[in-house]
Amino acid sequence: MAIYSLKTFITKQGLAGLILLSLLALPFNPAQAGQPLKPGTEVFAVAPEKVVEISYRTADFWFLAHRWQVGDRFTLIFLKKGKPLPERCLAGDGFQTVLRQLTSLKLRQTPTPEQVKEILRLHPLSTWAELVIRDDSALEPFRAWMRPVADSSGEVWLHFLDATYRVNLDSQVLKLISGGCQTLGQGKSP
Amino acid sequence: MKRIEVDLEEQMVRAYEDDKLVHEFICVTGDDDHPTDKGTFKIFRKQHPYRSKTYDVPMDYAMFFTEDGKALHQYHGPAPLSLVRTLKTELTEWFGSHGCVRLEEDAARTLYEWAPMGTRVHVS
Repeated sequence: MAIYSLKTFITKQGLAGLILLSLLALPFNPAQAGQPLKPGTEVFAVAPEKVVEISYRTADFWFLAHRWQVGDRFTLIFLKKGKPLPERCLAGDGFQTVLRQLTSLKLRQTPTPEQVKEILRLHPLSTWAELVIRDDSALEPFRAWMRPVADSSGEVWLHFLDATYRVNLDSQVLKLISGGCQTLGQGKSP
Repeated sequence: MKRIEVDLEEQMVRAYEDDKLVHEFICVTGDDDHPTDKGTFKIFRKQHPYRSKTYDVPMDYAMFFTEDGKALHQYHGPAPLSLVRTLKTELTEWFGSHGCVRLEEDAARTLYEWAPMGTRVHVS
């Protein structure tokens, strides 16, 4: 389609069109390193009511929250290394805290490339938790890697695509997740 | 209350807070084959950086407002957006997007930082 349109365009516009297209191929606008976002800006956010799945996975723990459609209650599944059977429950109030926090990841600081290189040297991504959030739109799910900041509670390192950020995340969230149905299930509060 | 207005004819994006114009940017919207949806929407997802798997292109400072993935985002093409916009409006729709609202980098970042989740987007 694009090729057909291009041919049509050149045919219609003649030499002038060809020149214009040639000019467009020139790197007028080379990629520039963008300014970092302002602290407090959400580097990722999604409307919680549109979320249908959250997966949080480490080397020995996997938390999956799933619902077939928006409006349904989430079913929570916890798998722990060494435990043959998963723990399963319906989501309770504690889960709403987790959902709210994970769907609004606000920037605390953008580290320098040197800092990122050092963080990833000390802690390869394979040791980070994988976070996947799927919503009910046609968009691909958000996939990121997360690691608590060693010297600060309430913050995590977040890595996705080619970006690494230091973002706010209530220290309760990871504790709630690791508590399983006891903290996130129906009838339990954080 | 904040809101964003996308004017398809003018190829302009305007941001209002309590009916006061606070930002105004040029943009490039969808071509004839992939028109930007008209109507009133809400921003339901924000992400920076973002890369479209469908088109295998970057869409940084993405603010999605339709279920099929149309967003306001940074334009990453080789030519200045102002030139692309002129070519689209003056010469041919071929220079339009696949339905997204493309913005210059500064504009995309400013709007991304300014607009909270749920901001109304009106396309007309």
